[in-house]
Order: sequence, then C-alpha cells, then structure tokens
Amino acid sequence: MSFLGTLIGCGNSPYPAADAGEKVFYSYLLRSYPLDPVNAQSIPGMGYLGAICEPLFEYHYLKRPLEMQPLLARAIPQFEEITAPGLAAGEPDRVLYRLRFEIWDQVLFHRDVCMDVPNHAKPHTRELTAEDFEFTFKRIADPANNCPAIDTFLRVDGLSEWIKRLEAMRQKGPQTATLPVHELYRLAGPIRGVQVTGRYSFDLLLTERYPILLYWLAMTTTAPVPYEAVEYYHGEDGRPHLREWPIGTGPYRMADHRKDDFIAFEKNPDWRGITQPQRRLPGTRYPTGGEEEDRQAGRLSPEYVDQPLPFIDRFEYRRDKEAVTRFGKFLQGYYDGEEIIEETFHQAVSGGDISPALSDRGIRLSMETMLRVWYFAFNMDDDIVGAPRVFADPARERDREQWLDRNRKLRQAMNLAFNTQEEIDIFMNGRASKAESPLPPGVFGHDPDYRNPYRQYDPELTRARQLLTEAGYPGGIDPRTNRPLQIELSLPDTDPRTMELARMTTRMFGQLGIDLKLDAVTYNAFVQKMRRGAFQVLRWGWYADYPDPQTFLLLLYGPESSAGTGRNNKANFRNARFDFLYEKMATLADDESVTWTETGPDGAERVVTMSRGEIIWEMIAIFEYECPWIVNHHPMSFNLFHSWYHNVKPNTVIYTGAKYRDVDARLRRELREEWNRPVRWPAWAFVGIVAALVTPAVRTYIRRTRH
Amino acid sequence: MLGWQDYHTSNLVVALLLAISVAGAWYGRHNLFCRQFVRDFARRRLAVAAAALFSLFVGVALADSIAWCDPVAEENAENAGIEAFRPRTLIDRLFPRDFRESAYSAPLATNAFYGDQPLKHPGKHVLGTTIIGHDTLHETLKGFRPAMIIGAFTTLLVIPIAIVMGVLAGYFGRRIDDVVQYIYSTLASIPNILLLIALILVMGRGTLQVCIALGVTTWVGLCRLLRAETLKLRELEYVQAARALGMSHTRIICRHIVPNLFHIVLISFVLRFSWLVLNESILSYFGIGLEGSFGAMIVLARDELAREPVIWWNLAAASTALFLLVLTANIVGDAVRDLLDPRVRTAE
Amino acid sequence: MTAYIIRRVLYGVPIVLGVLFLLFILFFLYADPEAMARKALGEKASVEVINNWIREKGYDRPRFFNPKYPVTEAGFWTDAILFDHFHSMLTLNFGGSDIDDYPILDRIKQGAGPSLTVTVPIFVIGTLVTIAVSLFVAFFRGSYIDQAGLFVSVLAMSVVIFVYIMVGQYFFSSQWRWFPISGFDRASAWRFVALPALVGIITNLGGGVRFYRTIMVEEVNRDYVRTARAKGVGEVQIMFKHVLKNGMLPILTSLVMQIPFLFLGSLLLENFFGIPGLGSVTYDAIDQNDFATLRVMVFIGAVVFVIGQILTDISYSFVDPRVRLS
Repeated sequence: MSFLGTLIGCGNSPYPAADAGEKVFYSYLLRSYPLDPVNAQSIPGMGYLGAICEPLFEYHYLKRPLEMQPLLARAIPQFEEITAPGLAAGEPDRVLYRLRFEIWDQVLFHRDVCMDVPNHAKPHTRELTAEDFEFTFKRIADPANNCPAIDTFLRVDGLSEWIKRLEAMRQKGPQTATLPVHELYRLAGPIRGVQVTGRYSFDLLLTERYPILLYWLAMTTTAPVPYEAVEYYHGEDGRPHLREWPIGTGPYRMADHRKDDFIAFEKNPDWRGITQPQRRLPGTRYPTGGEEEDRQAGRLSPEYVDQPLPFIDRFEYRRDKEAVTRFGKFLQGYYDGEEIIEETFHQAVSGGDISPALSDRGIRLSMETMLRVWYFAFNMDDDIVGAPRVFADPARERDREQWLDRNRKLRQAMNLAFNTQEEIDIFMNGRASKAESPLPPGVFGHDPDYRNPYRQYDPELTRARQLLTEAGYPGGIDPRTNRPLQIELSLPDTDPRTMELARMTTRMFGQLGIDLKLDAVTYNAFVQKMRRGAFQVLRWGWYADYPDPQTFLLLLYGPESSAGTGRNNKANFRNARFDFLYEKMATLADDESVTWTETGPDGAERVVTMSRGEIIWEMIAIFEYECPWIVNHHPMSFNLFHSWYHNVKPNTVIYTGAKYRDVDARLRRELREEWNRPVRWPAWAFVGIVAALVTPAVRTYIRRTRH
Repeated sequence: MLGWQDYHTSNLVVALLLAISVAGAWYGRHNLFCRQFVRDFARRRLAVAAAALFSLFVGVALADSIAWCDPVAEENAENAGIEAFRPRTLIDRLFPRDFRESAYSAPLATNAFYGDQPLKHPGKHVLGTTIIGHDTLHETLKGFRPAMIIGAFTTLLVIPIAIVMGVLAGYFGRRIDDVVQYIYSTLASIPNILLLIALILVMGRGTLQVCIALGVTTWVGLCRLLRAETLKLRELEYVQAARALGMSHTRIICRHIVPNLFHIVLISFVLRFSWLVLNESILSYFGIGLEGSFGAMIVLARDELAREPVIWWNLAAASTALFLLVLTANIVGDAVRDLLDPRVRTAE
Repeated sequence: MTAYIIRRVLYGVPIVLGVLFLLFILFFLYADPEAMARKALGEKASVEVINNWIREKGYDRPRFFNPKYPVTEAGFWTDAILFDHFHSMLTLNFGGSDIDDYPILDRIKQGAGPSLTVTVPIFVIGTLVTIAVSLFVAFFRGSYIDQAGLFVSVLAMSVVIFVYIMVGQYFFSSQWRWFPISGFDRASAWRFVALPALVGIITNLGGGVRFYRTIMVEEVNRDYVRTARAKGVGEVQIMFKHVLKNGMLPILTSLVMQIPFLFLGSLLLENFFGIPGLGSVTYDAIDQNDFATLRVMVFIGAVVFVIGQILTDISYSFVDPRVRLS
C-alpha cells in the first residue's frame, strides 16, 4: 500500500528532480536533424545551429521587415565592379564583382578536444581567422557535402574549376582519398574568387552581381567550422560525427546529444560577448530598439535592453512525437513554449485571442505569417490540364493554339472553384492567410491589396462554369466520354488527415462538375510519378530560407522543371518571358532597376528599363493568366508561451534567436508544483474494487476446499 | 468510396457471394453434420446473439457494396452535377443526398460546433459530423465494408495457398515437406507486423496490397495446422485402405483429405478475423491501411481528444463499432471452435 | 545431446539466409532509390545531389552479378548488391542509415536498453499475472467466475490498443497526474515505464488468459489428474504441482513467440509514450522510408526469433528426451 503511495507521489514531471531551479530551457525534439552547418536544411535543425554557429551576418531580432546586420563581419559590404585580367594570356579582361569582408578579431571557437591537435587530450580553442572562411567556402563547394547553397555559390569566380580539381584529386587514388579533408582541399589549390587578404579580411569575387548571396551569408549554412572539427569528428572510433556534434563560434556549445532522443546545449564560456562585454560587439547585446508591438509584449523592458547576451544557461530538447502529449506537457508546464496546431487550437484560442483558461495561467500567444506557400501544381506537360511542348494526342497538336487556350481556361476554372478560405477555416482554424500569388507577406513584391481574379471564390461558380464551358467541358462533362471530366490528384502522404483534406478538395471540384480522382500512394510511388511527370495535379509546399521573392519565383522558372530532373518547378511551367524576367530579377537588389533592349510587338527595337518590383509584377501577371498552380495559402504560426518565458519573437528565418530569450526558473518551479499535484483518491478506489472482486472468489474457494 | 469503374465488379461480387451462401444453405439443409452443428450452435444463447449481430454487420458491408447510379438523361447531363454520376450504395441511399455540414457538429446538434452557424440538417446527425462535416453514423456504417474486405479477401487469398501447400507437405512428405516447411519457417521467423509493413511500403498502398501482405503473414499458421492434420489423416485406416485399393493420390486428397480439413480452415478463419481487423488499424497508424476503415477513423480522431471542448463522437463511434465487430467475431469464433474441434489452438 | 544442438543450430542457418534473400528481393529489387534519396536529403536537394547520394549508397550498382568482370572471377559475384547485402548483414556491418548515415548498430545499441526496460516488465509481470489469473479461472472452471473471467477476457481482447493508450494517458497523466504523459529518463526509468507497461500488460492479458486457461483445463481433465484427485491430493496442490507443470510446455512455446518483441520493443507503445527504444527506431525508419534501418530491424527480429526457437527446442529436449530422437 505504501508502495502505491510512493509510486503516485513522484508525480508527472518528465525531468530529473535536481534540475528544477536551473535556468534551463525545456522543449521537444521531433527527431535528430543533421547538424553539420554546411548541409543542415531542416528548420528546427537550423534553429539549433543558430545557437551554436555564427554566420557573417544575422537579422535584427526585433525589427520587421527583416533587417540584416553584421555579426562576425564588421560591416555588410557593397558590390564593387572590378576588372580582372583574362584567364589566359591574350584573353580580354573580365568584369567581376567584389565583396570585401572584414571580420572581428579575438573570436574563439568552442573549447573542445578536437582543437587540441594532434593529441586531442584536453579541450583547447583558437582564434577565428579569414582562412577559416576559405575552408568553409571550400566545404560549400565540395560536392560530397551536398550543400544547398551550391547553386548560388557557383557564381564565385573559379569555384567550378576548383570542384573539378577536387574531384580529380579524389579519383587519383587511395593516397589522396584517405587524406584529411583540409589537406585535400589545400592540394586542390585556392578558389580564384576567394582571396584571403589578411588575418581578418578576405574578398569574394563573383562573376555576376548576385545580391541573393548575401542572404546565404546570414544563414548557418555559411557559418565557419574549424578544420580540426571536420577532421576529428568523423563518426567512427566512438567519436560522434560533425553532424551530431557541430563546433562553431556561437554563444552555446553542444553539451549532450543522444541520437533521436536528447540534445542539450550549454553556454559557451569563451564566447566574446561573455569574455569581452566591454567591446560591445554587434550581436552580443540585447537590441535597444524594435517595433511598437515589442514594447507592448514586454520585449523591450529595461531589464533586457542593451544587456549582455546570452540569458539562458542551457537548452534541453527531448524527443516527443505525438502532438497530444506535447500539448499535454506544455499545459502541465513542462515545456516553456509550444506551437499551436489545429487540434489544440480551440483549447488555446477563442475569438481571435488566447482562451481564458490559458490566459489565467499567464500563457501568452504570438502569431506570425511564415515565409511559406502551399499550392496545387498542374502538370504543364499533361495533355488535359497543361501546355506541353508537344501534345501527346496528335489531334490536339494539330489545333495546338486552340488547345493551349482551352486547357488554360480549364486551369482558370479550377482555380476559381477551389475555396481556400474553407480549407483554412476547417483545417487550420484560420491560421493561414489566403494566397493570391506565390509571394507571402513580408517578402519584397508582396502587395497586400492585390487580388488574383482567378482566386476569388464565388459560391455560385458563375465565372468558373462559363470558363469550363469555353474550355470544352460544359457542366464538367467531357464530350469524349459523356461523363464528368476526370482529373487525378496525387498526394505525397497517405495519412487519414491528408485523405480528409483530399476528400474536401474532391467535393469542391465536384461542385464544378469535375470528378477529382485521388491518387494516394506511398511516398515511394509519389516520387516516381513526379520524376516521370506522370501526374495531373499534385499538392506541394515550399518554405523559404531567406526573405527574398527569388526563392518563390524559382518554383516557376523553366530550367528548374522537375520532369526527369526532380528539380523544384513541380508544375514543369515553362514560359519564355517569365524565365527571361526571372533571370533579370535574380541579379537585382530590391531598390535597383535594369535596362535592356528588346523587340516590341511592332518589330521595332526598344530600350526597356524596369525596377525589380516592376519585373516581379509582370511575372505575377503571367502567373495569374497562365494559372500553373492553384495557390492556396501562406500558413501562420501561432505560438504559446508560459509567463516565465521572455523575449520570444518567432520567425523561421532568424536563426540566431536563442541568445535573446530568457526564462524565469523560480517562477516556473512554483507554477509547475501548483499545477501538478497528484490526485490520490482513485488509487484507493482501485484497491477497493479489487478487494470487492476477490472476496466472493475467496469465499467460494473456502467452500470448495471444505468439501 | 466507390469509383464508377469498379461498382459493377463490386455488385457482381455481392451477387456471387449471395449465390454461394444460398447454395451452401441449401446443401446444408440436407447434410446431417451441418444440421447437428446448427442445432448445437442454437443452444448457445450468447453465440447466437453474437452471430446475429455479426450477420447484421456483414449485411451492412454487403449493402454498402451494392451501388448504382441514377440514370441521367443525356440532355440533362450538363446540369446534373457530379453527384448524379457517382454511384451510391444501399447504405448511402439510407441518407439523404448531400447530407453534410461544413465542419464538426455534435450529435443531434442544431448549430455548428465551432462558430455556432445553424446546420443544414439540424438535429438529424445522430452521431454528429466529422471534421469535414460528413455524417459520423454514415461514415461508421461505411467502415464495415473495408473490415469485411480485409477479413474475406485475405481469407480467399490464403485458403487455396494454405491448403495446397499444407496438404502436399503433409501427404507426400519428404522433399516437398522440407521445402514447404522451409518456406513457412522462414516467413514465420520474421515478426508479423514488420513483414506486413515492409511488404506494403515496398508494394505500395491499396486494398489489394494490404490484403496480399496480410495474406502472406497469415497463411503460415493455417498451413502449419493443415500439414499436421494431413499427417494424421494420412495414417488413418481408410486412407491407407484407399491407397491399397489403388486409388490415385489426387482422388485420395480430394475425397478423403481435403474435406476433413475444412473444419480447421473454418475455425482458424473465424478466429483470425479479429486479428486481421485489429492489425489493419495498426497499419492505419502508419498511414498504410485501407481508406475509410475503422482504423483510419480512429487514427484521424485520436487528436480530437486534445480539443477543448473535447470532440468524442468520432472516436467513440469508430472504436465502438470496431469493438463490437471484433467482439462478435471472437464470440462466434469461440463457439465454432468449441463445437467443431476444441483442440485447435491459435496462440496470439 | 551435443549432436542434437548442432543439428538444431544448423537448421536455423538456411532460415536466416532465406530471410536475407527475401529482404534482398523487397528492398533492392523492388524499392526505388530516388524516393529514399529525397526523404534523406529533403525536397530542395538538386538532381546532382540525389544522384550522388544514390551512387554513394551503392543503390545504382548491379544487383545479382557484375558484368564488368568475367564469370570466372570472384568479382563477378562479389562486386554486386546481392553479395554485399548478405556479407554485411551476416558480419553485422550494417552501415549507416539511409536518412542521416548514423551507424545503425549504434542506434540499436542505444535503443535496446530503453526497449528492454519497457518490454521486460511487460513480459515478466504480464506472464506472471496471466498465469495467476488463468490458474484462478481454471480453478473455478464451469462456475460463474470462469464464465465472467472468459467474457471479460474476450471484451479486453476486442478493444483496439489505441483506446487503452489514450484512456491511460488521459486519466493517469492528465487527470490524476501520477506519471509523466510520455518521455524517458535513464536515471528514473520506472516512472516513465509504469504507464506503458500497464497498458502493455492489459492488452496482452485477455488473449493470454483465454489461451492458458484452455491449456490448463485440458490438463485438469487428464487421467493422471483424476488419479491424483482420487488419491486425495488437494485441489490447490493439483493446480500447482500437476496442471501448471504440465501446462508449461505449450506456454513456453507461446512465450518464445514473444521474444523478438522483447528486443524490437513495442512499436505503438514506444511511440505514444516517447520511449527512445527500438520500436521507436523502427517507426522512424518506416516514417522516413529509411529502408536500410528497416531491413536491419527485420533481420534482427528474425535472427532473435530463430535463436529463441532453438533455445526452446533445446530446453524441451531436457524436459522430454523423446524430442531429441524425432
């Protein structure tokens, strides 16, 4: 009986009792994401890395729209046009674009055994220099690292030649293949466009003026990693791999990592903000200014403004797969913050604000539209819904122009029939903003007043029906079969929830008279279909790594077509004008314009000057008319925070937020105790029930043995 | 949901099943053994009640497999809308057309659960509605069909394989026995659920694939039982006598062995039924079960418990239906086993 | 005896090889490497990167034999997936997972502990409770206790496991706050294991009681029990000394069937209760199309099962020497 008492008395805390008063941040892990900065791509993974590694720049923690500021760099450089001599004697001079970087001195890497070369006996550290950046750019270039930034960095002068040299070295034989990576990189020679000009300065030379590269320098992808760590943490002989144990210059360092189970970071005592607070280096103090909403939310309280960072001592993430248990632990106070999902929405939010039951506990809510877009992509290579380069059906190919027009009208009609608002209301409790174009709010080129005429749902479907008739399917009836036109929707996921969403979609197109057939297959089969281009419509989503329209418009760029390549233009949309504009737009900064000559419709040459915004607007106009997608929504994140968790301002592209946040451990301990007192009476009730059940049996037994 | 290509097949299958059961009943009427069995079975009140309920479930599944489209006049086709072309089953026809709301509503409610708008069919949804406003009772009734398909279709796949392999191994012994034993020992040594998942992940999702995967994992147990029984039967005097009289192996197997195995087949499948249905729900958890099954409904509804106020009716309806189905199958299975051969054991 | 053991072990070898061949067919002939690559590298990965991955993992290599070599050379067979698959599995060189290259063997080592802390209590306490309840029910065979016991067992068997888990979490964690909803901590594992173990025991109880009771009632009706009873041996003594002892053999067989589950952990329980065991590893492998891990888990499950069977057969032969001869 006393055993039962102690059993229950321990309560429901999922943490060791000793940690109760520590300044630890508690959260959960969905799985262990790979954490090698050069190829970490998951949003949570980059979030963890943002605490451990530092890139050259970061975003201002509070200001919106996002504002870049220096972190390891002393300043954000400007592009300078320079002339470089030709590659070989006799070749003409080349125009290159130079970015000059100055970095801070006395920046130390994490104190770690890997830095103690060659003995690896005790933890050691060293200063970050420009050469570490050269090494990091080589890691980005190395194809073995699968770096997501490679497409952008191929614009660095001489990078592709360097890759060829590296590959040649690798294939040379076992002597070079077994060399440590930094030795191999050294043998492969320097990259022409990465020039170390001093201990703390280096130049990047680009073949093209490409401002998007700067965004990558604010991402953990380009954060410097010491070559010692790459060599030491190779995942064998009982050592972790670098992707499990990242090393950098950040305010936190790895403290513990059990794969798919537990991750912990602790404060890095050698961080420049802690050892040299008097230098007031950028990114080592809490910001002094922000938005009005920050003032209201207490994110600019004097307790924090201009104080040296970081605040929290330790971060602990434990694996938790189920949404219900996650929310349960949040309510019990065991997680400091939690994202609201659809199921938990009505428990947390009522009438657009936090529900009284939660606000009584001091829980607060924050909302932000994410840099994401969800859409249905039509397969433009398909005969029925698309605009293929050659129609498979010869009859259609003969009347090509007519069918291009008809198929476009079908796409437009389907765009008009999909009621995004209903999807948002039912499946996301309104936690999304309806999309009018691929560009989400907060990205340059997004116009809040723009309404895409084909995305305005009218319950009567008048215009949609008319377009469908013009497309040759009056009332949705396909004249070839005299039945409703059948279109197949492929889904990447087969869980019951996706199926429910698909059923709702079926219903919406059913109203128009189109029979949407669901093609729910395993992920395996879905990938095959996508690669072969053997689908009609599929549902897909995209999230941005950086706040630039280019990353969204890329999804419609012709050379990026996915059929046969698996690239990102899932719709296989190819439009010569769109592609031309894309190439212009990608090389411009937001406030710049570009001039070119083109042949007008009357055959006369003319000079055109367009600003970046105007180019984007023409691209959106093409998108609007051609309807290669049914663009659905940009999801919003709703986050809950306990009263003891301070300075939270979530944003999926601000990676360095960990150092700005704070927890009040004492308040947390008190509230946890108050909220989690065990209820004991059911235990006694159980004991009673068991006794009541056993007694008659015992009586029967006694009766029997007496016989 | 039935597409319009396959509803003819479905109707045909139902007709065939009905024909077979009528023929079976007609044959059984004059068969002493069957009459005895029915008489004994009728004496067990619990089993009879369970059998009645189970037959009702079978009936629902059959009714949900009979579908047709209402004829659409050619000239009206353009205005008829998609619904006119969708085949509706007998079960669908119990409910009015377009019997939906836009989202959740509680049982017998007159207003939507969230937002308080009046419903299109106030007070008519006996068990409430699902997330996309489908009637929960309707969905639940439609859940019996996938369950029966799992049970019946897998059985149809498994019986011929198990009988052929089991009888060949037991009757001829030696090499054949070695090969058959080797195959089933190999399959049996892989944990069932892992084999199931691996098969479906690799083969792809779909009714046929799920049934094949379940079939591959279930034939082993039956085959083992049949082989052991055949070994026994082979040594019986009348079989030995038939062989001495020069009867061919094929005739002996068809006349003397296979008919004497049928009770085992029957027992093992009534008992296996619940295993199949429960395992399908685990597959649903991995996203590879059948569409519209009870498992899928439960998995979909499981997070609804975290809502506030809690949405209980979908989870309750699906798990109660699944519970009743498995319970009746278990009770009937026990009774059949007790009456036919209490010594057949299946350890699960 | 030694000869029997050797014979028995040798019989296990072809079965393990058969399992490996089946895995080869499923995962190398049937599965699509590109899908695995996409799951591993993310949707943003470019084609070159995908192809790199496939090449690095060796999924583009010849399957059965390598036509680069003449048939007479060893390389004809050894430089192909079939050979490598057998070779690496049998030498336990499982390599890295398809998703993140983390060594599969390390993951198994990490997961085995938490899995066992859940499954061993379920197995041990569950078996004891099941035997106790079935003895109890068998003792009162034919009476209302027996009837009620059987009916409750059937009821318990008919409830799908999700319901047990959800009801358990709702009451024991959220409402009464006795145990954590989910999670795991090596230092105080029992607090986290209590609830999943309880659910595990209850889900297995119904089927177990029914099965063991049948065995015991069968034994009770045997001649030797009747003789013992005629000699005046007490009912309780009969149950424990004769019925339980003789019923142990079939019970042992059914327990062996559960051994792979002990090692593989419980897929569903570990997921719902956040226990970082092998069941969780397997679930992740399924969820992420990590076929490398999945095939290792299937292989290990099969090997453990075969070993378990050999051990039971050997222990049988101690109990009953006739087994050795057949």
